[in-house]
Amino acid sequence: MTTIIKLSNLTCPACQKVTQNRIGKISGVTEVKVDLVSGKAEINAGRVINNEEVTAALQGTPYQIV
Amino acid sequence: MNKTVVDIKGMHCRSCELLVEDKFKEYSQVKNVVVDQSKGTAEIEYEGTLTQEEIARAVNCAGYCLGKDEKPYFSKNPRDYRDLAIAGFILLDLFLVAKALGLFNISLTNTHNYSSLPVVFLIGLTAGISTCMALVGGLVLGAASRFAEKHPTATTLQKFKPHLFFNLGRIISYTVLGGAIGFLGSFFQISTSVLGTIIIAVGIVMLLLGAQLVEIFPFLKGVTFTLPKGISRLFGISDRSEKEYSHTNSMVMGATTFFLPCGFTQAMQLFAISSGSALVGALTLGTFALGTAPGLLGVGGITSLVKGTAARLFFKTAGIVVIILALFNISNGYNLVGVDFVGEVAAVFGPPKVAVGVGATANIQNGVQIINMDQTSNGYTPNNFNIKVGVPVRWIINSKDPHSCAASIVSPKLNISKVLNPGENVIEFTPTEVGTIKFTCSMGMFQGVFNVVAAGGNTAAIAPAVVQQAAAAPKAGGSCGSGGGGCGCGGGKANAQPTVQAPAAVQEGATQVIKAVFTYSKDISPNSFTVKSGKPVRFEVDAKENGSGCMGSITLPGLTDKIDLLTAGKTSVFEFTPTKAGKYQITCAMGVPRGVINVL
Repeated sequence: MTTIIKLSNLTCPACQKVTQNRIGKISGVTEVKVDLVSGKAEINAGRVINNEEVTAALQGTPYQIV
Repeated sequence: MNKTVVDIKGMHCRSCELLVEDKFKEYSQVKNVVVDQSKGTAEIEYEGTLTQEEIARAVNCAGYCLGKDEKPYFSKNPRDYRDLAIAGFILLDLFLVAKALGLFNISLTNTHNYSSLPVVFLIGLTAGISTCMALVGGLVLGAASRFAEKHPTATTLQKFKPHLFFNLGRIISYTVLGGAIGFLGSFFQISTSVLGTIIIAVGIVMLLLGAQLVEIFPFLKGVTFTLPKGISRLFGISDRSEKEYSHTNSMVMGATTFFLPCGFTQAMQLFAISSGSALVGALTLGTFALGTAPGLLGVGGITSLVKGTAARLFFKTAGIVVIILALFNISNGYNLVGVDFVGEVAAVFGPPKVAVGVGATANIQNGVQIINMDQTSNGYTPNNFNIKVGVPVRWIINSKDPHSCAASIVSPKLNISKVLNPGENVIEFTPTEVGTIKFTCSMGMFQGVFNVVAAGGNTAAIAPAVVQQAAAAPKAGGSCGSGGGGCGCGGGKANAQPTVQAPAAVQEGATQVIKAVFTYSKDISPNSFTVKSGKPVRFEVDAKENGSGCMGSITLPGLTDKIDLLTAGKTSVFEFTPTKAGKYQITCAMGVPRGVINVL
């Protein structure tokens, strides 16, 4: 199952990496691809990933769901 | 709990910090980790053991290396220098265009006077696109992007609102605090050396900012003395920009910029302090802040529009401008502290501008003496006239440059205090006694004189005296304003000041006594003294007339901190013991040189 969300404030490859790492740690997530330019995050998981979980994963970072 | 600090290189942003922090937190023994990309360090708190291998693995996994970032003094990238050359070329072009358009005359010749509000507004405009933009622009951008981030669907107008509130707060605080320091200025006076030190400090901060903007000194990048982190943290400004955006915060941020030492702001604040009037202070700083608004409102737009190469050039050009202004600040500051740092350099930038008029004789038409005089930003021409006593005078002043100090004309003897309108202004009076009637601009910078002679008297006989008066006129050129930077005072130090050597100091016991007389037309005379070091000196200035404007105050930077006012009939006494040989200047409180004391 693929969830697509859009993130704000991605400015550099390090941001891309941080978001991918953080979202990747949500249980059930198998693969995360974040596009730096569009801010689009493609989350592959065995279940539905809701926005609250992503927000929680990104706690303490400047990135937000748009 | 153990603690260790490791150096990490390659980090350049907040995300880098997060990446490294996240990696370290994967170890169960790590309890807390703080990574600082600007310092290039990680502070790790852990329990039990954490091996060097584990640390290296975490850092490498995050994509960085252990070790210190090398920051050479000069950039090794030729592109940086090429860009700098291009930026310099752009600046030169802008300079030539501005000169051709006459913009330079507006911003430079008129900055000598802050007492006229339109001029203050113009200075504000200039500051808003130069120093204030360099210093405050970053803050504005911070607040605006915060707002845009919270309200991604906001319209352009809504995104513009933070800028409006920021500037509103700025204008209000400048007006209120300007009034406050104007009011307080009537009670205290900052000593010249303190003032000079502040100005030098501002200059150094600006120099650093400029050096960072031109980007050829990589070692400076780590020096977080840039505005949002260094100074503003002191005032809690950066904390605010990190917080949730609100209109109130934006306004408070704007308000606190009063304490950010932009060169122009400093000059305005000094002027407000020296005015000693709450109203003048409030109006001056309020108008100034209003003037900076267009530039600051535009900075968000401009800086977000320029991208890539254009942005780099933009910031490099701004960097060069900031460096130039910084050097002006430092030179003015040194002047105040009493070190003749770049006197010769300043001489190049501030040549004497006051034209020396030749004594003109009035034409008599229908029993009225007609006097024609032009007023420009450089003063009055001609500026001395021979008139006959008892005959009505019709004084026609053609004001060619109404937005300058010279447009406000005063003559205590004639009881005239008038702001000239553009075009012809007529003042009528009848001289009742033989002698001289002087007039000046309200700051005392520009002067002129009427020589009143007995009816039927020979005007030619008075000619030598006239020439004498005229020669004294240029002395105050640039007194109340500033150098090209508009920061502080004393820029126009290259005065065509006639040097009158005093006789050797008179010995009174162990004290060396030197004496001078102050008159309106001749300033301090004699104005060159020689004393021996190590022995007490008493310098007496007998004021025959009241001083006016900046030149009404006198001080001896480097010798004493005392500032005295020249008041008719009073003798200002300065007592000091010079300890070091050298040339010490006699200046006004704003640092304009008017004489010298040589210590042997």
